[in-house]
Amino acid sequence: MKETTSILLIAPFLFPALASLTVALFGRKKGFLREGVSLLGVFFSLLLSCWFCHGTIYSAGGGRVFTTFYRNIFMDGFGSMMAVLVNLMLLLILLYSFTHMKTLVDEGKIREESLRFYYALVSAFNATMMLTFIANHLILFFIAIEASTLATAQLVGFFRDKRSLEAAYKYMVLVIVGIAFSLMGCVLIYSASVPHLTGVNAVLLTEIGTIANIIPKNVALLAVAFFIIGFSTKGGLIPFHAWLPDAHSEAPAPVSALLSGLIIKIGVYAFARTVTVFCRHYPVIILYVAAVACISMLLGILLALAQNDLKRLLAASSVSQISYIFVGLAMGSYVGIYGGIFHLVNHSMLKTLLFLTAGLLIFATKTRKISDMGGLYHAMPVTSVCFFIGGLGIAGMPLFSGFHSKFAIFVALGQQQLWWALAITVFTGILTLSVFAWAGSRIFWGRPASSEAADAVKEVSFAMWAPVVIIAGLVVVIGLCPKIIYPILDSASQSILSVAEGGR
Amino acid sequence: MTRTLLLEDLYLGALLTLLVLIVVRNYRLSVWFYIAHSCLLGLIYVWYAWNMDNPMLYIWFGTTILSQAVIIPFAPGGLFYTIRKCNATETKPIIPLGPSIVFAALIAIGAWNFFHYIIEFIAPTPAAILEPARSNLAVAFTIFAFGLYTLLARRDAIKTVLALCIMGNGIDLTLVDLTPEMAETAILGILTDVIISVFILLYISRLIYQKFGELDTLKLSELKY
Repeated sequence: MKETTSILLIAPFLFPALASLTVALFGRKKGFLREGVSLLGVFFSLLLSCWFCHGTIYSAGGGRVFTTFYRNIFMDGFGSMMAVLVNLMLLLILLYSFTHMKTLVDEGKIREESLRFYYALVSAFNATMMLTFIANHLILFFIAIEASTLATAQLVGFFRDKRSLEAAYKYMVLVIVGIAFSLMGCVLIYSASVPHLTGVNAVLLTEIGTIANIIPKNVALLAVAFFIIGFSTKGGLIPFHAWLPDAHSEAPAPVSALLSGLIIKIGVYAFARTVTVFCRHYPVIILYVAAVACISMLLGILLALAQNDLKRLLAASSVSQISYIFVGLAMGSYVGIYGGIFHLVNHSMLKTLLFLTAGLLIFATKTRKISDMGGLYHAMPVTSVCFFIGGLGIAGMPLFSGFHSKFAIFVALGQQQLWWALAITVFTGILTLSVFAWAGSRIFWGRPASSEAADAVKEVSFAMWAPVVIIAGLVVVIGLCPKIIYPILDSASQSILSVAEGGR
Repeated sequence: MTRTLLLEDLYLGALLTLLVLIVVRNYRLSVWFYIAHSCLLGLIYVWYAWNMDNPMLYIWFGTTILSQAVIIPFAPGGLFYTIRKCNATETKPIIPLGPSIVFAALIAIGAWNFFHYIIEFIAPTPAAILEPARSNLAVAFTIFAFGLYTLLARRDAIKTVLALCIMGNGIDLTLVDLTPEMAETAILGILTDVIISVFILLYISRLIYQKFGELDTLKLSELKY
């Protein structure tokens, strides 16, 4: 693998960080200094990550890695893919928030001044995400993960009422404890690898592959157990998921999309960088993660079946879907990692789409209860089509993007001969379809709770549904022609594998 | 030999101050014991810096004293500020004093036995099997476990924040005990001491106190499954 030194690597982090600072200092009034600057930060970050993504894929003779600061900062195929994905989703979420947050101000739910903190925190969150993806130094990596939690905790408790504060408190305590556990794992790995590597290299993420099978087996397994606890708390697997439905449902709609679409992917990213590397040497980890994730995906979707609150339903479905990604990445084979990453991309887009759609529905009907909605198909045709695209995609129906990624995960499970896990993943897929079919039919074709309420509902304005339609379009295009993103996914999978094999 | 004894006394002192800060329900006393605990922690780093000839650890001593013993308790928005704004006495814990001490003793004895008889099984470095590393590892692990225990057994938000700090200290002690000779160890320890998380948690706790009128986390039950 070729290395190119480029100081530009820190720019995708710097742009949003500067934007955040500018908005926090000067963004008192609506206009360029608030909305404009935060949008520009994401936009430049997106442009640069696209450039890096292109550089990692299309270079003569295979993959390329960008590094700087003595390899403490690096970006390979996986990191650049995540950066592009996160920036793209964040750009659309920001476009959506312009109108959404304004309507919240008009409704009197939040004050005009607090919008400044909203945009500053979203930009700060973007910066921490970018820092996560460019960090090769273990400590930088942990700081970035911790900082992303801190930036979003205030966003979860944005309404400052009892429910959202409770959600924010739970979110912070649980995730910080989780990160403490993974830090313990990190300390174990570091101390075990010090005799085998020189001090500076012992704290590089890309060096984990070279020491994975050298350090004592039990230490490696203990450290991986700590990593799994930590990163699945961030990702929201079931024994550690308690924060997820609360935080997702109590935050404003764009923040829910940001949490479900982007934040929990940090857990997945960290998992792929650490645990996947060990999976190739210790097959017992594959079995363990598959067992935990299968329980999680089944219980998650059963939790979703029991919900009447639309946002909690989507959050519970996130618990279930994130387990698919964990299963795929834990397989350690090319197909498994490919499926996991593909599902990561799909889930990120689909859950952003679904949460934003839910935001539109809640805005139009002023209720979150599915039983109070009904017969909205005629009133809100655009929203309903977007919801069904998202629902069918998540359920993994053929011709939608979720199908391709889930199918790759099924194949990987078959290769490992984990038939029980395969049965559970397929069964969960069917349950997911039934959950979304039920919710969709209830919301759009069911009998409305009262005819006056149903008559008052109107389709939301163009500015609100336009970002949602763009994501829906992306989902449809990828579903019909998955070939267009294959090079990106391939380069990402290859880069994880090359780290696992000792970073050649 | 006497030097090692000093180190073990420091570890024991850190453990005992910790025990007091966990079981005491008067917050001011609790925070003062936390400050004492952090100072002992700093002295442990100094001991390692002196004996392992690793000057980077002196810097870690400085940052630990600054952040844990000065900024976290005394800064505006810190522990004392929050105690003044909210309540000075902790809400009644789930597990009362007597059983708490029994649990603490059980954790300590369990960790001691584990690190003296079964440590070969998972020792990350060859030195971890030998004295004094294994005794200190036992204490460090006990501190981590106490933090987790406090998190589970106490229901007051401020105690929860203290528990998170304690868990972090347990990790730091494990780190310095396993690889005291590396300069990177100090960098690792300094940078992972994220004090902003403590301040944001305390800020959310104060908001919760304003809305709910108390800091009892068991009363946070607006959201169910």
